[in-house]
Amino acid sequence: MLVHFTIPFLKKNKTNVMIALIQFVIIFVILQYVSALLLDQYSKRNELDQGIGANTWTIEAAIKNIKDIDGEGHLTWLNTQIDALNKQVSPQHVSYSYIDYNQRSNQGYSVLYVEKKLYDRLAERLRLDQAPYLYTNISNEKIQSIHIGKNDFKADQRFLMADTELIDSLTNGMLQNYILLPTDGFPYDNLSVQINMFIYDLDSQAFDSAQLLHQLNSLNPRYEYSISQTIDSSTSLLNYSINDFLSYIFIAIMALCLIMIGFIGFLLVQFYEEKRNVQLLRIMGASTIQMFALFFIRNSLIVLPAFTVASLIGYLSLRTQYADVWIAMFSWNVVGMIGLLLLATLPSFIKTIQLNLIDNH
Amino acid sequence: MCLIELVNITKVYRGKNVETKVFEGISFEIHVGDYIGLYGRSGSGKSTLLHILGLLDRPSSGTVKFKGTDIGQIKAHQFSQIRNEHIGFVFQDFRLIDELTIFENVEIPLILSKQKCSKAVREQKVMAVLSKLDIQDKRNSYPQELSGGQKQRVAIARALVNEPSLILADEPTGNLDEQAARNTMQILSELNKEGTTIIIVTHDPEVKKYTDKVIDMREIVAQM
Repeated sequence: MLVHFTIPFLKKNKTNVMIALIQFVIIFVILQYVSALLLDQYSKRNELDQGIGANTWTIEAAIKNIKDIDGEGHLTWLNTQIDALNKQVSPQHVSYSYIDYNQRSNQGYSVLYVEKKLYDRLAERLRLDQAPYLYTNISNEKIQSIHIGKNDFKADQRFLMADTELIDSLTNGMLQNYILLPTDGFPYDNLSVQINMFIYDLDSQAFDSAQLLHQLNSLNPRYEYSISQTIDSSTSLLNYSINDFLSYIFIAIMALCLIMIGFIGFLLVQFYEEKRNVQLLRIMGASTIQMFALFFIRNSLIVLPAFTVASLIGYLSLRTQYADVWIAMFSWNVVGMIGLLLLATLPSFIKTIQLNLIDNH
Repeated sequence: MCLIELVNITKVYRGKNVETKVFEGISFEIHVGDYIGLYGRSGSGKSTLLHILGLLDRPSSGTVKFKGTDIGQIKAHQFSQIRNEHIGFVFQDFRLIDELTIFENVEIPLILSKQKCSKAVREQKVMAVLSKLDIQDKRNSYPQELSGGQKQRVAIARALVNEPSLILADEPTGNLDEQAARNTMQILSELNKEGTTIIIVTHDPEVKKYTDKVIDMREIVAQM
């Protein structure tokens, strides 16, 4: 029945309520996108943590000036840089992989050379302890028929075929089908390879990434180096700080919602007519619980239609891209919204409790 | 039977640097069935006294007993229940909610009541008081469609719907023309004859004619 009383409250401030509704739709759509991105990242990071291990970092090299590619090629990693890296991070935490573009199968498979430590680690993680180290159900004959790097590959050689997601995470999602071959040698003399350097089993506190980057950049000025945490394949290697940034945006939007709902509720009580009605209900015997329920319902009537519209927009636009996280995201948003409404009702409620019942007589 | 007992009531408003004493040491009793006029000029403290009687405000010192219960001993949240069940309020400016129909306005105390009643019972009670005040045909109208006199009838109907033992009317005729004021006072007199205790705050000497007893704020303040 209390819903009945909220109608006059809203009718009195029709324009303000409409503006608030539009603002909330926009905010909630942004909130849905940000939370979808966040949950997607966390979900994929968890996947990756299980696959490659937590606290895995990739150091990438990007050429500074495209004109520097002169056809002769050059090294993205120099000996001096490897030394600098090993000084900061124990070699047992460093590994690498590289692609040799000269070795490509005509059947769509490529070789990804993986440093032995990383190889063993992947084999262990992927539970590939059974001979002959096949990860997929592709037969030996099939593998042997893939004529990749005949010089490197032998029929009895230990190798891995890993799933697309894992391989993508190792190669920035550049190519799809790989056979992983272990190697003990760093390809200093091979100018046509792309090297991915990894640091694993180290959290961000265990090494000074800023100092390391400064050193790497000063030792090889043709390249710009960056360190990022391996997140997932579709977004390549997403920097950890972006993840934090999204979290901040998420928190900021939630805070904004809270302030807006609370403030609008509070403002509505300030209007003379509203104040008069609230006073009247209190005088007529409305209990504090009834007043809280009244404001909760009123705030819900302002916010929930906007939330519904935003959820619909979010569902239509995000359901394909973030299908895996959609239900989780929606559930969290609903729980968050109820919490938000309860919190946001407090300012109006407190104002009402403090309201002097005898003024304006 | 004593309905309200005031013992040595004092009310002081405290500002930042100023203290305003409205009245001091007031003691009197209101019995069931009384029809009392609180008479005085603007600013004499009559409304403040009415607010204390209506449990809208607490005295600075002294004791207020409502049906034998010292209200100083009960918690603030219980005030609302007492107001809802035992006291009906009538205001000078009617205090109707413009967006609700007359029926809905009168229904408010029933909805807020702890003793939940069904929609059918609410309908029955509301229509009974509307009929009693001869405004049943206005049930679907909105306050702005009514005259001042009719609005005050609605306000009285709302005050009566929970069958309170006390009606507090704050300048009920202040916004009415002569005829409407007379009608309102007659309605209140009839309600009093039916047993309802009524206290009217007024500065209109005409109102004194309808009440059984007058408490003159000037005399109270003079005793301070």
